[in-house]
Amino acid sequence: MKVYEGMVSITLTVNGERRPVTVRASDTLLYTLREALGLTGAKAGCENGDCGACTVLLDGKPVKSCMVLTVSTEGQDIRTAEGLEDEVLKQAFVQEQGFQCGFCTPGFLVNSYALLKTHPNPDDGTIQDWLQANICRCTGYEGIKRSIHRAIENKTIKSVP
Amino acid sequence: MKDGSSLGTSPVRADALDKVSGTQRYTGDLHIPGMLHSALVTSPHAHARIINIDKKRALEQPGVRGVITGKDIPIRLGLYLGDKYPLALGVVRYFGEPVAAVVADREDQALAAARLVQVEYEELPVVRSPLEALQADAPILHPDMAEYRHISAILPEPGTNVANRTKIRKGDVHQGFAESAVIIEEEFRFPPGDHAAMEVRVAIAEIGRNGVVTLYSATQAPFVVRSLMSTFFNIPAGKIRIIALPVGGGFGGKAGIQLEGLAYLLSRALGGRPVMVRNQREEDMLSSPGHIGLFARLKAGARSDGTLSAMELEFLFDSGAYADYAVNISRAAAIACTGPYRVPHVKTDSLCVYTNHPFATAYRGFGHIELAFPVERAMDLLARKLGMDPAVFRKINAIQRGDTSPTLQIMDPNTGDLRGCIDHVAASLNWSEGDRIEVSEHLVRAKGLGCLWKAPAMPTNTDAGAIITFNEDGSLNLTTGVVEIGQGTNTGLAQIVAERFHIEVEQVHVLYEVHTDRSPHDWATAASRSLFMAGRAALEAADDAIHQIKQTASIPLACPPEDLEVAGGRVFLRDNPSVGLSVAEVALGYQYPKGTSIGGQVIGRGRYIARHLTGLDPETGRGEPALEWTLGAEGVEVEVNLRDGSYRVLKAACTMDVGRVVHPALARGQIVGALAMALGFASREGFQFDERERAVNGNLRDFKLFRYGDEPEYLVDFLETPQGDGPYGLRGLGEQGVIGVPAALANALSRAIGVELNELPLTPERVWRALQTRKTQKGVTL
Amino acid sequence: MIPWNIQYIQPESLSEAWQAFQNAKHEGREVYYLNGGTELITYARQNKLHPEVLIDISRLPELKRLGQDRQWMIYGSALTLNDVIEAKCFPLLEHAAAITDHTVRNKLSLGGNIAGRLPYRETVLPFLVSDATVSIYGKEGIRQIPIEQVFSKRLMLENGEILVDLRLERSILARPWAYVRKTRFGQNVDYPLVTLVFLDVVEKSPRFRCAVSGAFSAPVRSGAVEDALHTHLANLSPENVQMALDPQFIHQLIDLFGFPLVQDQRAGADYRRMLLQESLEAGLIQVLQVNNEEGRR
Repeated sequence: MKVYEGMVSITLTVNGERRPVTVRASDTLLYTLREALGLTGAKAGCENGDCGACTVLLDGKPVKSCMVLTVSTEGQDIRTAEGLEDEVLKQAFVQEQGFQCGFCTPGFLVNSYALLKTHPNPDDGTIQDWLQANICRCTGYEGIKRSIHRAIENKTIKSVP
Repeated sequence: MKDGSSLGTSPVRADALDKVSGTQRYTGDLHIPGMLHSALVTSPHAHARIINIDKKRALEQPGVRGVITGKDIPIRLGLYLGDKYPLALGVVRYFGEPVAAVVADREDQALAAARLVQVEYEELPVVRSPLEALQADAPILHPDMAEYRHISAILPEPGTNVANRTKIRKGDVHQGFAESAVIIEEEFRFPPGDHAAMEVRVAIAEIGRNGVVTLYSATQAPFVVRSLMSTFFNIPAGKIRIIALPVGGGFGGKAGIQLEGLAYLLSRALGGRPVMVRNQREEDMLSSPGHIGLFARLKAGARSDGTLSAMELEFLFDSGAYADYAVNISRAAAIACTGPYRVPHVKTDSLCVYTNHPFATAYRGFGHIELAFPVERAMDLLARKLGMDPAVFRKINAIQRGDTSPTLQIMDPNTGDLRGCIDHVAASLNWSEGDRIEVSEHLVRAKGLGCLWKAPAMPTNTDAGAIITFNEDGSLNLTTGVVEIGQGTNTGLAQIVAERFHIEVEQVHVLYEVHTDRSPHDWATAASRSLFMAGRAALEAADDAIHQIKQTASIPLACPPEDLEVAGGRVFLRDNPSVGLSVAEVALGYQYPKGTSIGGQVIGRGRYIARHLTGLDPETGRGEPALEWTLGAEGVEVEVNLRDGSYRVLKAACTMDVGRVVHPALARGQIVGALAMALGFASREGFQFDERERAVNGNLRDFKLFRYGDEPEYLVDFLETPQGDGPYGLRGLGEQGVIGVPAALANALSRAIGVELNELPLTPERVWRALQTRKTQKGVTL
Repeated sequence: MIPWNIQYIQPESLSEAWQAFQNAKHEGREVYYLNGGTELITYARQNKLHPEVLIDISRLPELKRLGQDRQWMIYGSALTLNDVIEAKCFPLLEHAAAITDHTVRNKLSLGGNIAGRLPYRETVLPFLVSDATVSIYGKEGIRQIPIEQVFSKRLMLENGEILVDLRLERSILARPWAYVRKTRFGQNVDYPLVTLVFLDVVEKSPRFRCAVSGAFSAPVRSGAVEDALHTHLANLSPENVQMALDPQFIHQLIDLFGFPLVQDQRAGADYRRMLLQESLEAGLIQVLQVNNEEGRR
């Protein structure tokens, strides 16, 4: 039985790397990623689970890292926006104006990445179900929608032999 | 080699890859060695006297370096009217007002200690609205108003809750109403709200041993911050450096002085050590300023031929507890009070009124989105009374060159084609099929219009600057004072400069950080004037650089400089292009084969200052405050359920006359983003208050914003009536897209349900209640 | 962030979890079970509660059960709402679980939704109308108990008891159902103004089950409502479905729930009433039409 109190030293697996860290048992994963590991792509937009700017992947699933205790993620595979190896998806956002100020963008990228890995050809309902987890205040969502569709299209093209 | 002309194309933004890779840095991502963290203690009351603050327990907590209260920093600040202490002193005037700041080594230590600061209050009666604030027996929220420093253009009224009053007296409204065939008289209102940018506000301040203040801030206005700090804290301007990294959304909310003053004062209290002040989301919404509220009375008359004859307007702006930008918002609303229409007789009183609400600052649209709600509703009401089509009615009255604004400023030859915009929007929405179509027994489709105009509401000496330097490979560096806040102006500037040099846009490297000690001065990245003014400055800098290149090159090329052309990275004889040099060989000085060097580096200098702007006459409002007007038309189509008031926005259309579209994708992005923001504001946003006037939805769970899937189909296009003094004919467009939308939505919904909707937000519940009144009146059960 | 220090415990068995809870209580420390954490962590940040000990039960195998045995369909309380939805076993529950947003649902658990602090508890509604049985771990180990004996507005757990799973009879999974959810702006990511479920259990009595959340201050299933439905629908032939939708009847049904409609900042009581009226109408159409198409069983 694991018991952590106060400050603890644990090892996280982040973006494919083993990262030893010393954290408070009450630290959120968001805080640890940003402060201990310098991975500032995940943002503290609300720290309340509402905006999605803190989204990262845990064992391939998107979660809001502001609501996850770091100590609970030992043994899990953590992936952040910086560690997304998906040039097709990123280029789609670049080409289709899927961002403006960019603050919500890492969260959208992480969520979109997981969406397309799970559903390579999602219908609009599925896309909406996933992406309504992230708020954007700049784009009105049109550019993001085009980016997702462009990514789906380009991935399909790439996967056709 | 390319001959340039990226204008009208959509090159990739230079910040794109960082932003999609999570590696773009914002102010909150910075770590300064030795940086201390702070946490705020905020007021649980909307209006109360501070009896006592007990810091003892907080000071004892581990890691705590200091607990600062209003008594420690009794300096009143303000943009135009110095009415606010960075930490409340003696009295709190809104729920969420900061009363103390704890500084500690770590964020968790600061937050933990903040909870232990004990504040004793004595509650005072609250002022709930501008109407209440103006009643004879209302509590006076700023009894010391007579002592407040203010600029001369603002006219506060001590002894009252009026922070500013702007009057427009054009023509004679009595005569105007006498000529009217139809008159309408209505009241309109909406509550204060929030920008809700995704990045919360943050500032880091430190003071060097030499007294130089360095401040990193998520700000749209680094030079405003520098100027105010110099004035209020008696620091020489040259000893203040404000550093503005790219901002995660501004929308006006980061355009004044926000957390910077407090960050500086905390650092000062701690011997100059770096201190970060960062908002929790709830603080960003409530403690920091938001969007202004409004109560408006409007009386308008039109003649039988459809021409407007008179407008009488009373704007009571809910500024909240402090004036900040609000005194200018109310002024800007007066300047543009009629909307983009020809109105010969106008009487407007625009007041900025104190209440015990969270206070307001600049918000996208700046007085114009607020005035457009009553005015564009009035246009529909008048049209209906005349039995006229609302689009036709607007076209008849659309302002054109030669007409006068409310301040008697003559619309110049650059005036955009509003009638054309109305035609385009009407076509986009298939206006000819009708504006109300019954889909089924309970479902109705309806359409509504709202026109827009806006000129920047900025000081008469607003300016911009640009510096161009060169690199060894002949590429350029462009430095301006424009902050990247998402709008992508830097890409537009790169295109403008690339166009002038006839090179590829990738050859122009724009600096994405503004450092006030090395960037040229720029008033602020606000008011949708950056591409216009910094663009003019950039063009001057480009021409200056080209001149210097020619000067240097003319010597080894042995010709008069005026015979030379600069294009495609070369400087060459116009009539014999094969004779020339590469720009790279010249821009850092030219070196002869034997080593002798001449010319020196090219430094292109450019500046632009707003021309011919004046203040307003205090009695009539007469003056020329507007640099350039952007005009446009907007419309929405909705589908409404007449049983429960629920509705969907199917389409949102905007045609705007922007003079010249430099980057189509970025331009569309601005309009679409504005449409979404305005629809959110109109349909669901706004602070709600409990019985003690405490805001209850100051968080993103309860303050509902548009999410993916809520958006309508966007129909956007542009007209290009050139702005003669704009770079390549362009004019501003960043914020204007919000202006006409709230009224367009209200117009569409009113048309759908047959009941006039004059209050925002237009929640389904509000629509349903309006439908109930119809049932009551007609005795009809739907 | 949570500014104070906590003790985080990850037990490997139910008995370890229980013991850790009792120990913390004995030491006078404020202790909670962590089952996903979406509520606890955000509430702690807002200073709404002050956990000193968090016992993470989200990985206990008994709480992760998802599947059928001879008699039951079993849903472990540590299943995430996405786990529940992706199981594709019980559409009514899958609809009820599709709340908040997809990302939060990767952490928000069934137990977190039913036994947390928010009053809506929408995922309990399908279990309420199914005569479900809940498994609870307590002093004497695991016990099974009918849900109506242990749920009244919320789950009545003794200090330290753990909701292990909820189980319903397999026959329920294929029964006709209806689900209606109303929010302020038609957005999914919002608390409900009305969440309504209907279930037609066919051979049992009362036949048409109904439970509501959002409109009242807690989830409600009312015997009086179901009796009235039973009486009203008893003599209905397939052709007379429309009669079931008599607005007056539905109006009276609302009063039979026996609770006042919520009046708050989010919506007025009269507006909620109208939405509940609409929802009951739509729900009845849904559950009766399905019945009609399949013929009476």
